[in-house]
Amino acid sequence: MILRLNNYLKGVNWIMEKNDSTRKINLELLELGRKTIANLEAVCEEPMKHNEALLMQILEHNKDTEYGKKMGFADIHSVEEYQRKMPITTYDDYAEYILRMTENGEQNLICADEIHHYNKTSGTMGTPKRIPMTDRALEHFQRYSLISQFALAEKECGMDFVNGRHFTVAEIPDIEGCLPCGASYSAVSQKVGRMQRSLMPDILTAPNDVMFPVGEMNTRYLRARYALMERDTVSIRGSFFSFLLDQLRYIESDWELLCNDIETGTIDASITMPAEVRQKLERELQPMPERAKELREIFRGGFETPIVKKLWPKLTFVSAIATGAFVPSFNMTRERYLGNDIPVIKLGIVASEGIFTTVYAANQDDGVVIPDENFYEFLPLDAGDDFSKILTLDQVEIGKEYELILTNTSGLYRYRMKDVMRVVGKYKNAPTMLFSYRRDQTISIMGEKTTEKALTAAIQKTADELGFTLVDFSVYADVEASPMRYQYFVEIENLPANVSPKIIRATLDEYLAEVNPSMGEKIRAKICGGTRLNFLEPEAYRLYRDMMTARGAAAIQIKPVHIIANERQRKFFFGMTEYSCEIMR
Amino acid sequence: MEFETMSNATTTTLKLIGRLDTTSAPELEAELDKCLNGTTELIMDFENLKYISSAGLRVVLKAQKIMNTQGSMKLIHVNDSIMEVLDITGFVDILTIE
Repeated sequence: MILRLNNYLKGVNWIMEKNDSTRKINLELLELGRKTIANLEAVCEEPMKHNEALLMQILEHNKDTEYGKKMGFADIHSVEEYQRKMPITTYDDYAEYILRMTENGEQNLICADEIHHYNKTSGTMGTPKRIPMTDRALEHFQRYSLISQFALAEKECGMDFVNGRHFTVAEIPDIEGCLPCGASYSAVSQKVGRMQRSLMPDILTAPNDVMFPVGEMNTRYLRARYALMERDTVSIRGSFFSFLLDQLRYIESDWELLCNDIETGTIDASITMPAEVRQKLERELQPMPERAKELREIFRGGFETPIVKKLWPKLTFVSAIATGAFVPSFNMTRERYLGNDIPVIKLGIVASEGIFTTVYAANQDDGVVIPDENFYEFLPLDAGDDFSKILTLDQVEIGKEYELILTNTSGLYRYRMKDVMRVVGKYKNAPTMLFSYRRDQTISIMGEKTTEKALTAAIQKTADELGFTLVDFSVYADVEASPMRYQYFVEIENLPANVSPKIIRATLDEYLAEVNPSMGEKIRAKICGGTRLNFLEPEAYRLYRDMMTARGAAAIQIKPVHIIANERQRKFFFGMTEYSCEIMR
Repeated sequence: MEFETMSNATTTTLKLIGRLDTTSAPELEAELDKCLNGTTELIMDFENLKYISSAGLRVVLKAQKIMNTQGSMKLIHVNDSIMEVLDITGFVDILTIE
């Protein structure tokens, strides 16, 4: 009896210690988040002053690098001089330098700081690149993408969340890529995740064995399992909303298995993972019959109304990238699982080259440009390649779209990002922006140039009007058809009985004409054909993700394929088509 | 969907008969859970497989991932229509097909 009591007290102490360290680390991160937001507020009062000062610091700091000497950084003393003397660049301008840096370990070529990490780009538009990132830039990336969320959550709903853990929908390969020079090489999100490794066991629902999987592991199950066990979970966080959606859909489909395992404190034999990991996790897991009972009752109530707040009553906020290509997955997650009451922190615009904007409040779509992070220039879309029309931060206009030209602290100067941003407002005196589309993510068969954003809007409006759920979509420019046309591939759910494929197709064409009048004109004039609509098999997009990870792609970097850009994608989506609908001539 | 499973010490041969679709994919998954323990060579015989859907492909992919860690897997007697599906979906590059 005494032994049992001692064990019980040990358990209570252990839980209290764990809770103490959770609270302590959350509070530390909150404090850092507050400082980050306070700094943002300060620099946003005079954004151009800070942006210009940063440019001068970058030039001074890098004036003795090989590239800095070649470009005469030492003789540049103003923004105007910089724009006059420094050409617009692309990755090709740095490829030789980066090769010498990464293969031979040469330093001081494009950046005075020693580079310990290179970001592996997602390769959306080609072969993955090696993008240098200084320690300073990595730290700032971490602050503005992850840590500032804590301060924003506090502003929205107080600081109770510091007492609980976060359900993070991410996985980071246990072994980090390494380049011949010794620097690490991985996606920036993976690197940032790795930087937080020591903190994770105290603040995340899942242990590091799950966050840093070894070998083949069913991480969907494991993440869900640990989060469901933790009734006091305070947030759900991920890189992209598509991940959050995928995770919640897994919980919906496999809740019985999850509940059974939570009840017994075991892991079902069908769940894949290395034997040693299973052994370790099972040793630590305890039966939780009460929690399993509670969860079963919630799940048996169905998924007709948003369920997450029932599963986790203390859930305070949700965060992930929800703009651009992730709008459909955000909408579906919100509608089916989250509801409208939980604050969503949507994250800013990030890329392998750095972080450009950060959200300044919960439930905001736009983010504010961070004036002391990079030097920004903006190429108006109607300027074509006339770089004399490039504008600075203080010259952009609300309501207009621009291509971002970036000078960062990691060795890229007047670097053409190909990302198009729309200026939507101001925070203090700094412009706020939304990611619109990638300039090279545009579909055009007869000069109509439909952006990914327009393609997304057309199908999303169709789904909203007709009342079905859009899982995801892809578009293919069918130049072999006569006349040429777009082929939409859609995976949908909850199709109302009175909505036929013909109605969906016709509505889609109407909205396509609305979002891109040029395409509407061309269809009316029969220069282009009406859209062919292809309905994909259930879970086709999940299969695509699984197939890409089987091919070695990092799960964290698989973005929605909204524009079919290569033969592999074309074959896959045609192969997954269940049935099609088109105008018969 | 029917399965015929033959096992010796380390090799399991699984013959699939019929349609591998949303309904039968979980059955195959359960069958694999039963027979993969201790298997170092998995042979999936597709001679009498008439159809495979995305759900079926996901189970085959899962089996391949498991076998990557504990041995090898191959598909045999794949007929033309199934081969076409494996080809267009890109699975021919991931799976071993004889």
